[in-house]
Parts: sequence; C-alpha cells; structure tokens
Amino acid sequence: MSQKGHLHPVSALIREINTIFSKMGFSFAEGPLLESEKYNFDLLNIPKDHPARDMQDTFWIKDEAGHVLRTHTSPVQVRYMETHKPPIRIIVPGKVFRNEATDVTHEAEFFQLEGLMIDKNVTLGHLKGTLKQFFEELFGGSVDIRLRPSFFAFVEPGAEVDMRITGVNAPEKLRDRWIEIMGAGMVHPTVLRNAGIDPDEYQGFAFGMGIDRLALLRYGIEDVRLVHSGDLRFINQF
Amino acid sequence: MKISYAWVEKYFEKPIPAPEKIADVITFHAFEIDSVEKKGGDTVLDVKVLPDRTHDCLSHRGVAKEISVICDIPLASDPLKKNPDLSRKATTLTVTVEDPRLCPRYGAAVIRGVSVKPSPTWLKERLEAVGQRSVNNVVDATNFVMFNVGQPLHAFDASKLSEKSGKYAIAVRSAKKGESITTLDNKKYELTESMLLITDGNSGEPIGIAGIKGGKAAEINETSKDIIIESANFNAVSTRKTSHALKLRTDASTRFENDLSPEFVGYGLVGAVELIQRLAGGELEGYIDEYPKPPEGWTVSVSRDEVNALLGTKMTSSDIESILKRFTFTYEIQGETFHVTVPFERLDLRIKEDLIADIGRIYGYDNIPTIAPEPLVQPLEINKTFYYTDKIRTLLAEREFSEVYTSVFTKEGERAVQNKVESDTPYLRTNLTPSLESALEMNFKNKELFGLEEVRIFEIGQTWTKKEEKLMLGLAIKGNKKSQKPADILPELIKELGMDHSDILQNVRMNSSVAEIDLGALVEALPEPTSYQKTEGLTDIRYKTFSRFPFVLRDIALWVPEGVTSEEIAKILTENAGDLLHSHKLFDEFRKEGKISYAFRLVFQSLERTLSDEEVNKIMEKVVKNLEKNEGWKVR
Repeated sequence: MSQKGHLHPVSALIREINTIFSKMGFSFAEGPLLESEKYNFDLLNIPKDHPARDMQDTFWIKDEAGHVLRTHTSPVQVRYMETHKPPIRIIVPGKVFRNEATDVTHEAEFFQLEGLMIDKNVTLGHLKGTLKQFFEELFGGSVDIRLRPSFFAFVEPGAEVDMRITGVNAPEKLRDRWIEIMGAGMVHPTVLRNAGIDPDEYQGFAFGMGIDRLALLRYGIEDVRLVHSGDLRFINQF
Repeated sequence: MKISYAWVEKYFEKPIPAPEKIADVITFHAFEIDSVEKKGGDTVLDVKVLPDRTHDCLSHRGVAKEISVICDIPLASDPLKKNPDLSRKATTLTVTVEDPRLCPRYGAAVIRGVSVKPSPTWLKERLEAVGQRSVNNVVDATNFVMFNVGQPLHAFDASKLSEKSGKYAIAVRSAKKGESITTLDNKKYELTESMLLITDGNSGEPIGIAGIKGGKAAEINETSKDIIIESANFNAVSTRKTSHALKLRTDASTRFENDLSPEFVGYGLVGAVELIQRLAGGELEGYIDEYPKPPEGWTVSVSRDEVNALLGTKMTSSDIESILKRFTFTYEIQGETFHVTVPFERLDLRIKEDLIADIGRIYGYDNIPTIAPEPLVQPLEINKTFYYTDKIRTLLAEREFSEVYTSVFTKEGERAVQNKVESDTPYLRTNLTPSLESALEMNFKNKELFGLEEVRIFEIGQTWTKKEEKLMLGLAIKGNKKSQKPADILPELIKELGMDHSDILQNVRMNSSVAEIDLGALVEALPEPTSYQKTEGLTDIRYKTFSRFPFVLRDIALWVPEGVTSEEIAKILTENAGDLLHSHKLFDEFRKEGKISYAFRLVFQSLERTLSDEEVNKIMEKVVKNLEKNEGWKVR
C-alpha cells in the first residue's frame, strides 16, 4: 500500500472554509446536535404554533418533550452570544437535520455553515462584502453577490443570496450564471436581546448555507446522498 | 399564491409592465416567483408570498399594491381605502360569540331573494385562472372577494337554518365532545372540544368549521333564495391547530392561520354583498357586526441615520420620503425621523427594522454597497475540538485511512426521533462500530477497484446515549492476517497529538476490525492549541461518476526477454483492453534464465451494465494476441 488516505470532501471543504474565514477574523464555534426547542426555535424568534415553524420539518425526540435534532446551525448564534461580548465574528460549520424524504438533492442529515458578525456598525453592505471575499477565495474568479428579499424569523431584513462567478479563473461549469446559495439578513433585535446583547448598541448580520450544496458546486458531485454513503469509490476521489 | 395578470391589471389606469417584467421586479423587490404561465388570454404568476406578508399579500389587491410600490405606478382605486358602511342592521339574524379571543370579529349580511345561477364568463375566467372551479354566482362571488382582497367569506342558505320568533341565530362556539360535522364535500369530521364551530344557534346544529370549511347542512344550491354571508375573523393559532388536527387545509384556513387583521371583515363583507347583488340580485336586509374590541393602531418610527446604519447606504431624507410616498403610508416628519402610521393590514410592520427592510427592498438591494469587513481587532479564538479533529484527520490520512461519514440514524439505540419520514431507522446511534463495520465490508468488496490489499477507514461523529451526546472517533481495518489491528494505531496517534499515555486508552471499545474512543474526552485532556495547522492549497478536483455495476478481474502473467519494462507491457494492455478496463496493477515480477515474468491484475467495469464473462474473455484474447505479436513474449 503506497497511497495516502483521503479526507472526506465535506471535511476538506470545512477545513478550507475555516482557513478563509479565520483570515477574516471569524472564529470557529460549535454547539450540540441534539438541541432544545428553546435554542432551536424560541430564542430565535420562532414562537410555538407559528407558521414559521412549518418552514422546517423537525425531528422531535421521542419521549423527551422540547428536544429536537437541530434544524439549523443558528442555535449556536444565541449560545455563543450568551457567553461572548461583541465584537463577535464566528462561523459554525456543523450537521443539521430535516425530517424529509431523501433524493439526489435532499438528505435528512446534512451540513450547514452559519456565519455571524456583530459589532456597533455592521451593515447589510458588510454581509455582501464578506460573502464576496469568501466565495472569491473558495471558487477563484471574481464574485458578484445579489440579494433578494426573503423572510427568516431571526433576521430583519432577510434575504436570499445569489452569487455569480466571472473571469477566467472561474470554474467553467459555474461561470457567468447566478446561483442561489443561501439565506441571510441582519440579526433580529429580539434575537440579540434574547442572547443578552443590547440591540440599541449592537447590530450585525447572520447567514446560513448548505455545505453539502457547496461541495456539490465545488466538486461537481451529482448526488448529495453520496456524502453519508461511506463509499470509498466516492471518497477516494478527493 | 396564483395571481392573474389580467386581474391585477384592473387595479391600474396606467399601463403596467408585461408579465415577465412584473415577475422580475417582484423577484428582486418582494417575493420569489415560482412560475409564469400563459392561460388563455391571461398570464398566471405563481407568487411565493413570504410568511410575514401573508397578512396582506395573499390577494390580488395585495400583489397589485406591491407592484404599485415597486414600479411607482399608483393604484387607480384601492378597495381598502373606502371605509365599509355596515350601519344598516339585519333584523332577522342574531349572532353570539362564545369566546371573542377565538373569534375577535363576526360580521354577517342577510340578503333576501337572490337567484342562484351559473356565473358570468368573466367571473369563471378569473377563478379558473387562479385554479378555482366555478360553483354558482353566489359561491363564486365570495371566492372572488377572498382572492381579491384576502378576506375569507362563506355563504349559508338561510332557509336551511331554524327560525325562532322570526329570527335566525348563528352561534360561534367550541365543539362538544363527540360532535361531528359533514362538510360541503360530503366528508364527515369527528370534532374535539378545542375546535371552533359555526352553528345554528336555534337548533345547535354545526353549519361550519370556523375559518376552515362550510358544512353541508346550510349549503347554497339553485333553490336558495335568502342567504347569509359570513365575513369573520378567527384566531390564528386555534385555526392552525384545528386545520392540522383534521388534516384539512383550505384557502380560508391558510389565511386565518397566518393571522389576518379583523379590519378586513367589513371590506370583505361589503365587497361580497355588492358583487352578489350585481350577479344574483336580491335585497340587502342588513348587517350584523360583532366586534367587541377593535385593535389599536400602530406607529413605527425610524430615522434616516437608522436606515443607513442598518443597510450600509447613504440615503437622504428625501430618498426615504419618496419611498414612503410610494407605499401611500401616512407619516409625520420630525427632523430626520419619520413616524409612520401602519396600515391595518400590515401586521408585519411592528419595529423599525421591519420598516427599514421595506425601505431597503424598494430602494433596491442592488444599490446597497459591497463593503469589505475591516480587519479584526481581537485575536482569533482557536477552537480546540476543531483543531484536534482536523489534526487527527491529517494523521490518519498519512496512515492510509480514508474518512467516511455514515448516518446517525440506526435500527436500535437509546433515543429515537418521532415521525421519521423514512421510518425504518428512527434511533440515534449509540456508537460508530456497526456503521463502520458495514462500510468496511462494502469497501472491502471493492478493494480491487482501488488497487488495495486492505481497507482502512475512520469516522469522527456524534453518538447518543440516554444521558449525553458524545463525539467519537472510530477506526476500522480489514485486510489479511498480517494487517494491523485498529486498536494498535491509537497509542501512536495519541502520542503524536502530544500525550504520552492516556486513560482514554483504557476505554477503547474494540473488536478485531474496529476500535472506537471517546474523542470529546480525549480532546479535553489535550493541551490548548495556539494556532491552526497550515493547510495545503486548494485542489482542482472534479468528481467523476463511478460505476454501480460489478467489476470483473483477470490476471495475466507473461515471459518477456530481459530489458522489456513493465511500462511497455502496460501500454499494450491499456491500448488493447479498451474503455471497459477500469484499472490495472503489476503484482508480481521475477527473473529466470535471462527472461522476466510480469504478472498484472486487470479490473474491468462498465458504467452502463454488468459485464459478461464472454465479453471479457474476448477482450483478453485480443490482449494476449497483441502481446504475443512481440518476438519472445509468451503469456503463461
């Protein structure tokens, strides 16, 4: 046996993501996968019996009322802000869960990348600037960021983010087309308050995107179910 | 929601942009558009109204208003601007509401002597455009008004209600234990005490599930003459719970469960009465309006600086004011601050950020500058878990281990999830061993594809016991008798991480092929890191689809004269074996009496099908023939 082993492409991508974001001053943060309803929903301004909860198909833990498999990495926003004072810059790459049927683009368990930046004068313009820099380093080429109005209970304003890679260094398959890539927005004052941060003094942006989807784009993987297949015919290509 | 372009167009005197252009401006300033479809002479846009705008935009008026604001074209007339007059009182109807929290407002109108008949073509077309089946002129009128302004309505046949002292009675109350109702579509629903009903107050019989669906008992048909139109407001949470419990979702329940302002009631009711009289004749007896506590108005204030500080823009006060004007908001200006009176239907406008979002999206997100973040002042936090898991990945890859991720869901465990869509694996894994074992078996069967004698894999992942969530590391090896045991790798791994010995090693869970340790506990015991390891530059890997079909092996050994290299042989092999050759490997080589023996293993596989033996034999014949063309080459 002469060849070296292979990192899983998602691990390789998380490593790359951390390298890029640490240069921009973002620390790596984490939180539990089996999460309380309080952190997954309530503190993120998603109250009980609110239609916003329908946006996510939740795995509830059997016989443990108020506990879920986290549906997003956003609970870590609150957990981190509870124990840290601004300025805050974090990324949270980690596993999340949705109770839905699986197919080539959907998995019940997948990876998400959360980002959070809180300071006295962080604006929606900084969100654009941060993401531009990230994608340019990740994909090569020059990146345009486009926002479209959207709604997530824990941000206001909320936006869908599209990116477009241009220039000779852009991967050919991705070049010159708009790609829908994530949800983002300015952290809702209620969320800041819930985490013990004064929204009159501080503000900031948050974003969340699928790492699996990023891997699909980055490496040209065609079936998201390969991620958890444990199949070296897949993994040993990386 | 399906929006008819022709219907929306009626809201304007001035021309509005073409449907595709409208779809475009809505996408970038308001909502996603799921589809744009031609339907007869009309175009239907499927508008994905955002959850916070369901209060005011699940209607043609709501979407027309958005278009008006975005395109800066005024509405010719806004149905929500004319104050509805409900002062004429109905004399033959009484309404009682048991709990005003569940039904904050109940409006009704009595119309006598209507003629129920098919709807006119224009109305049929409007409803068909938005995917509704035409029923009759009265029912269609109530539906039209709902899709027009957003207020759900219902029509009852008064003659099917009981009379007491010349009066009909409607009572809004919770269902009784054991009560049931048959709805308009002839389905029977068993009710519970948490469900709100519309009932005949005289007989007690249910005539509708509040805010969800009407009952069969008071259905309108061709013989109906005297009718009662309901325009009411129902509690969002209660409607949502009932709708979920009965698995009954309707256009009405969708609107109520997203919360509607009770102020809509009057607009909906007057609109429906006018349209019914126009289409079906009849005489309005009068209205009932049970509305004990109208909501108070809201004012939201925001300053120019606050707008710019959140968005990163440099708008002037007059930029902001011109946007507020497009919304036709009523506002007062105090210095650089705007005090905006929130229209009743905009339940989403409650704090300044909500208003800033509205100003921002009309100003245009494209006009928000791209600002690079300033360098950070405080030092980066090094995450200990990530630091060590990342390092372990590197160390294991150096030891020929490949990393797998397997599912956290299994057939057995100590904790489980409820209602899993794919329900055969509802448990959370308590350890990594079983899934690593099956990954090991699967990959071992394919080892020839990788040219490997043994398969080495590892996984880093969470497991769950009743008590806690743990991060585990599992190593697995399958090869031959000489293969290392995975447990033997651990001491050197831990040593490289900076510890001589660890108690962790006393808690290794192992069998002959898998070893698993509590990685969380190990990380805790390790020293604090100060910086991340340097990572290699980016690779330009593109994934290639692999074959799902079985592979076929052929070994070939041959004598060649001294001086012939294995590369020369490999070249002939690959040239003659064709596209079905997946890979080849030299596995034996020795010299004897001036000759060399080389032995190759060839792996054949197709991306499209299972290969047959004959097929591969044929290829091999060709390979042998071409090898032996060379002087002194002899396949053994």
